[in-house]
Amino acid sequence: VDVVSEAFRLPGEAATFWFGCNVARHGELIRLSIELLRRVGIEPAPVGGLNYCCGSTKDANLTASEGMGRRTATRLSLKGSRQVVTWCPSCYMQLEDVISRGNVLEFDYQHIAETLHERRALLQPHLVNPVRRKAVLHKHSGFERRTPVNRLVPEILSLVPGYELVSTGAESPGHMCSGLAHVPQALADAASRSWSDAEAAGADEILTIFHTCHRDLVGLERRHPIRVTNFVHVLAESMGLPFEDDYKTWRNSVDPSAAVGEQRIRLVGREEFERSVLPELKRPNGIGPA
Amino acid sequence: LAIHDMENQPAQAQAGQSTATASMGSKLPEGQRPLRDVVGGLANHFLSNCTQCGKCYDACPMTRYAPVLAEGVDGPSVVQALHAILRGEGGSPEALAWSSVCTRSGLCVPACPEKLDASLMVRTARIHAYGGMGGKAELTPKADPQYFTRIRAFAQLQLTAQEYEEWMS
Repeated sequence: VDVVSEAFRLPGEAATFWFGCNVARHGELIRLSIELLRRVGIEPAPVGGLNYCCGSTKDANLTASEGMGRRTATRLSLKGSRQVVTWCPSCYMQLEDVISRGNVLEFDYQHIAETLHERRALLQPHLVNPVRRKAVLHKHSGFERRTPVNRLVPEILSLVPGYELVSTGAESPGHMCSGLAHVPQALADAASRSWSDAEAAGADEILTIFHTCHRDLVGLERRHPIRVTNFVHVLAESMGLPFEDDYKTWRNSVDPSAAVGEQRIRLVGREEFERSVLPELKRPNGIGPA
Repeated sequence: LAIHDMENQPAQAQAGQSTATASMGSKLPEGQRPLRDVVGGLANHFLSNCTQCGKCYDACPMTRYAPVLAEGVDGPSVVQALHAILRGEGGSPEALAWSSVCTRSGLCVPACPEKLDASLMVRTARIHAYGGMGGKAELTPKADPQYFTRIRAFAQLQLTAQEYEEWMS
């Protein structure tokens, strides 16, 4: 292990894994992240969802934002771990920019890419299976000054046998794709950029770092001869961990309801499924050039 | 794991009307501050330290997405108008457009010769423009009434009952 932050020094030390809200669309990313953390000597206690929402979407309602931020800071503090490993860059930025200024945080925090990078020597022995693909990294600029994920993730994946990751091309604005959604055309431009980069590099894969990028880019598979994969997926493949990217399967299905299946839909309720889930799964896919 | 503490001075120690009025009547445990004090403190910090040189605007990759910011708009004038938003005085169409297309690219931060977090300055202005500090709303945030419902529904589809109970409760 090169350098491990003081709070993360002890192998097997408990940490809270604060995965956020929207990554719950990708259950396998949460489960695989938990396993990756275990492999590098951290025993994570996963928390997320609405009861741990950071409040970053509530800039127009500071009363709500304050309450959500304070509730989450308190709950994370009460978990008792001195360290919190984060997944979502929005949560991280809200914690740093807003919540920490109005609350006492009884923990340190670190993005999972940094945790895995610091402990990559512990990860390397588990990366045994070759993943023979060539990928381009889908990059954003907005999180780099907090955690330089555009450097850390390629360095982690350089340990995967056979995996070739090209990190050329411009960074898209924002910290991840969801941050672009409120600006017309910006999200489509980011997707087009990644597709163009992949095509120019002769790559067969676009590698995402964050969940909302993965969510928004998987549709490219419907219209282009390209595969969209998250960096956690690649690590899992090399480690031989089984997983299914259900969200991608659902999103790219011609019949999302059938792909999800009645058994799962019953968990949500048909009416709720059709109101809140189906419109997203039916959203036009394949943003970017035809 | 350092938690940056650039502008995180106690609101009471900073000048500014919005800060002074926002905290009236609040009684919070030690170390906690009302969010309006935090935002007001940030506004005061930027108003005091930003020189309106416009370098942040020039570095912004998002201005091309706002038609009103097309050719001929100069950075210093937009930042000057952004300061008016931070003072609660309302903004020009250009300043409002700039704050509305900000995606927190962060490219403005290294461009600032005063080493200010210009991205946070624009966000602070947008909070004011939303009416978050109690003034007139000049911008309307994109509303998604299904946002939280959708998260919960997807979580129910993706997680086992045990995972949902243990992780999300």
